[in-house]
Amino acid sequence: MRDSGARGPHAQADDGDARAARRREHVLFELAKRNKADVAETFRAITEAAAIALDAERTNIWRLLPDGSAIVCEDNFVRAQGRHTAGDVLWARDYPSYFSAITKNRVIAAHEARSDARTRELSKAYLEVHGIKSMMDVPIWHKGRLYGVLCHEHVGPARHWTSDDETFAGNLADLASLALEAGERRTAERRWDAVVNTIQEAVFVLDGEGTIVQANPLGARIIERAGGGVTLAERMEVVEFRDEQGRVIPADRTGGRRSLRGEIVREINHLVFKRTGERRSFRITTAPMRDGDRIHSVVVVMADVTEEVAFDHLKREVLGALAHEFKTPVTIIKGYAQHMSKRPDASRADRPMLAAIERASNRLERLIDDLVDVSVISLGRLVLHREPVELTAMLRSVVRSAAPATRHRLVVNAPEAVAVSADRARMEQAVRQLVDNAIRYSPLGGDVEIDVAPSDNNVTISVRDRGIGIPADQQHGIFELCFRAHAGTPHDVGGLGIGLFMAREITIRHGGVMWFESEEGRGSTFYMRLPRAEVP
Amino acid sequence: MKSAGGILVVDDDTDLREFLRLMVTSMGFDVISAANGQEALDVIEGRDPDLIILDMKMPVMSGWEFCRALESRDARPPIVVLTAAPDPAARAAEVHAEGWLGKPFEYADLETIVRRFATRPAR
Repeated sequence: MRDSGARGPHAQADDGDARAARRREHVLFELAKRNKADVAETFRAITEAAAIALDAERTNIWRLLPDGSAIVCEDNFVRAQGRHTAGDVLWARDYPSYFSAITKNRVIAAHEARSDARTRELSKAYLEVHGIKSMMDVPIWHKGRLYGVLCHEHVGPARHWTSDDETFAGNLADLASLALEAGERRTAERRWDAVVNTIQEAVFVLDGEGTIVQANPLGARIIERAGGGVTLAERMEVVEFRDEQGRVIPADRTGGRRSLRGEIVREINHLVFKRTGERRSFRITTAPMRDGDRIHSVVVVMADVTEEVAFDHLKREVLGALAHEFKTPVTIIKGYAQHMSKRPDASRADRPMLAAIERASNRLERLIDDLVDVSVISLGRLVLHREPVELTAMLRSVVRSAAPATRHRLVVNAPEAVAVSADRARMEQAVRQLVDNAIRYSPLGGDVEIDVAPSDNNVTISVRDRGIGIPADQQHGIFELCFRAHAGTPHDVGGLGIGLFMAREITIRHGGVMWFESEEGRGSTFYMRLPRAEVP
Repeated sequence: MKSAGGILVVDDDTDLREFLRLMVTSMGFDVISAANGQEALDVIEGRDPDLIILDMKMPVMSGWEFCRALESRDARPPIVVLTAAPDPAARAAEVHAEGWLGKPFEYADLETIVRRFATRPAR
């Protein structure tokens, strides 16, 4: 028979160690599985667990200020009182060795804290006050930086911290890091939710099938207004999507579907809610959400722009109507002026006045034409009546009509005949614009060279002047509507600033491109490239 | 029997009508005026003009309605549409008119078109 007593104390110590190890494991397990999004609560759980599992009288978590000047106690658990406190501050300037030790990010296991070089400066003000004999500090990391320390303080006889103690404390500190991350994530999520819920846009997330899997309150209201439409099929049942020109968009061409194929789509859609017949306009942005190469869902942002769209339309209609209404009075003014100046009994004194009236009416007429053009273009009503047009002849005629009014020498270098398929009046308008500009912006005269260079499929017209050129900082806007280079300078020629916009727009509608090169003080060259017509 | 000849000017704008009357008269033609499509229909009941210069947007009876009313007839005088529309040719085609004058027009444009259709000067 074996002497059971012989193994007694040893076995008890083993059992005690094993029990302690099991308890620690259990503590870690319980902490690991809890929801850590509430950082303060998790810190409290960690300090309590540390106190019990490591048998420490005081356990606390300190946060290092970003500038390293102090640590602030986030949570302190005093086992004897069973309560938590917080708010103590220890300044780096008072405890330089301790701060140097913790910022070097090593575990500080001070068995004799009041004599340990790293912690002894804490003796009077801290250790003695709380009766602390031994302490063990482990770093808490967050986002690759030292967040602070988890501190275990032992009251009573000096205590030797084992490497198991250090490992366990390190594990607790890792859990504190996780809590910080989870807390930060939750804060970010809450902030994001607040943004999504308060913005004036409807936000949806669609899955790979086009089904709405998430919507903010405004988005939910749209679904409600439509009377459904969570799945794509259902959506196409209850809502009709129309593009800016009013054409129905098929299911496969909606922004959501296009973004599932990788496109980022920004466009204005007119939605017709079939249940009520209500129509509203939305600026819709859709973008794919990727996981590596795979597009798993699409985010859709919709801003209600019904009022803006209606007002914009009205504005353009009014513009067009206004221009239209101007035409009759201008016809009368100009007609009478022309008629009177031709009469044999018109006085010598009246003639210059009549001529001035006529010039003024011509200017009005050009402004009206500009207004009409803007209205027509912006309402999408520019219709081209194409026919074969011979460019060289057209250019020569434009030059002939410009030449008498200018002291510039207009030179046309062109082959005999180059045909394009074009709306004659519009093409002439575009070409005339380039020639007029070349003359207008070379006030000192000089040559204006007009070249026609055909290639196999295209023909490029270039109009070069030796004029004032376009300042570099204004070149970006030269083709924009109502952009006027030289505005407010002596070269300001007035007008609406739509000539080049129209010229380019006409070129584009003919399948061509327009661009320019310009240097301030040296002149500009404008290019217009058009596809050549098939010669039958 | 209808009296023949002359040019019928149809426009609701009194000043423009008067202006056209003066211009066309100065070219040596008779002018009859009407303020809208209905008045113009009344005029051609008793007269067969060489040409109708027709405004489109008018109260009572518009240029479009006037042209539709004429469609049922076996023959009608040639029509020149007077329009401020950006695309006067298209406007003319809509009502099968023989020609168009875009506002604002030049005296010369008016003369060209009048002489093309009206060959009988005033007596």
